[in-house]
Amino acid sequence: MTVKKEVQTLIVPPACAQQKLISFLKQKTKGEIPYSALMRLIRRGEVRVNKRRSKPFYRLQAGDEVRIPPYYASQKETAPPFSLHIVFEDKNLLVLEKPAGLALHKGSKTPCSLQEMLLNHFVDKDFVPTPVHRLDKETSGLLLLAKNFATLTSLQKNWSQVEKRYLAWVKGEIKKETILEDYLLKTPHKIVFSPQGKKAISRVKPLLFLKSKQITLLEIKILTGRTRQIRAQLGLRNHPLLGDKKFKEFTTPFLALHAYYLKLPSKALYSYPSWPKPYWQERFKKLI
Amino acid sequence: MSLLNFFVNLPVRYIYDQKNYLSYFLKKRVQPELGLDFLSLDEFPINWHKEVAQCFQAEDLKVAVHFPFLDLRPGSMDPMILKASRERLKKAVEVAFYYQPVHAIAHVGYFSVDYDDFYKEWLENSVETWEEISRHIGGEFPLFLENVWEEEIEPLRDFWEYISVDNLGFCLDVGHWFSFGKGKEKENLSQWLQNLAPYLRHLHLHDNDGLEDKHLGLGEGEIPFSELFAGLELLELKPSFTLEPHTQEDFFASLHFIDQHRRWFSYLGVKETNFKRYMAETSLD
Repeated sequence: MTVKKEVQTLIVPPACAQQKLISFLKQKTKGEIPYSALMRLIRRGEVRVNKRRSKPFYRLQAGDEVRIPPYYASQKETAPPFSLHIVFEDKNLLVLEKPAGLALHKGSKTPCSLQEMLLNHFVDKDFVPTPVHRLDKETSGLLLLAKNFATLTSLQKNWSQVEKRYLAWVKGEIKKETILEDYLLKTPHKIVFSPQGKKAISRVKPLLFLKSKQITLLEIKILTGRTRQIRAQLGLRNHPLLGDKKFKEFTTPFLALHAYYLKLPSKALYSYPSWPKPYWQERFKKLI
Repeated sequence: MSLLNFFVNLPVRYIYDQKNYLSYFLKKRVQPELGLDFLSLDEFPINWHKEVAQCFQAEDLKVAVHFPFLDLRPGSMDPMILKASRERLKKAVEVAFYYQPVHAIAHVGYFSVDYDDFYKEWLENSVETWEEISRHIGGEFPLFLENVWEEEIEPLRDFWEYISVDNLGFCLDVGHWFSFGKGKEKENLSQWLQNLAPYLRHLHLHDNDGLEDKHLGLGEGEIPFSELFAGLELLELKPSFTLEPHTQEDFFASLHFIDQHRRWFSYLGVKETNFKRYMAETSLD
């Protein structure tokens, strides 16, 4: 079912100052217009800023007047299979516990995305909370979102200074704390160790070994942020994460990787996995 | 100085009625969190309070106080109830001075059934009350406000964001969170800790089954203490704490629990290693 949306004129609030026109429009049209169509509307001059044509990457100023032309929006009637679980909130930050299986962005294989849920949930907000960092679809755990553009840019700029720790179950036994230092190269189908790759550093610390299943629970602190860094560094060492299909590990129906701790300059945040037994039988005990 | 390094609740009315409570705390060198109620404020002679205070001071034992809470509404809509609540709390402050406490505890007093429709008014009245009480304390000791019936984090967080008073902290009562706050059902301890971390200064520790606020000994109920201590460590929080057992058995159970989980409690500064000595000889019955 489609609904015609009439022409809208929006005044850019201070919270959105310095945001690019294209991302502002993406938020305000709640994902109802595809990205390519939005670009087209801007290029054709149908989107106006202060009554004039504008460029997609123009950085808006507070008080700018943005005209969105009429468009047709498709309406969905099914409830999303996920709900937003808020761990922490203040005037600048929103911290969610992302469940495994929820993608950040919409795609051909992921009709339900976090982005879409946020647009619906924060429909009345000037600035829809926006993820500061990425988290793979199959990875669960803490996701930090900024509630205004200034916080978003500031956190993204300083993201390397944020301490990030994960919990993961891997195949085999890892006996002692180790630093993994590799060069990871992304090829079209997989990630491999290669001197041409990018440097990836992680510190892994074993917390628990389940002898009967020959699996180890690890705390992993990543010191670089490469694509699928943890999965690749461990998988390529024959310690694939449980449920990591990319490394042909099918022990569990879920990927046993959870972003459980973030330390910002001013605050620490944590979340525990909701893995089923026995993977979380000793809940919390071995962490402290 | 006490090796226990934490507090144990003791209503002053118990001392007034039965001297063996006082002698137990003094002999075993247990630091009390003395509960002041309206009766102890209005009926007990000031000289009696001074004598009790002197007993603890003579033994070099730190004392904390718990302000009255029965019938009090620090954010009441009704000006007369509000006035009475403030006067009662001020009177408690005046008596507390005799004890030279290291801290005082009071209840936040958000009742969602009554105040959800008057949220802004409750917030403004509460802030005014606690600012007034803090001025009355005059920086002599810190005041920690405890959750009781609060099911949601928002009223607490909004209160601390709104008020600007030094020496006013949050006391997380884990037993209240688990039972009254529906913590057992909601499994939201990590959200409570993370959202209220900037204000957390003290803990009230007791246990229950999530249905009633039973004030059992630690480990005798279902409160996820492992989650609590993991959260404190991850957030790098080291609040002081008070045990709140309602019977001697529950006190002993809590000591046993501390003994069994020394790793957690040493993180909170507990140095005592011989817990058996608190359980021997003296009976309070």
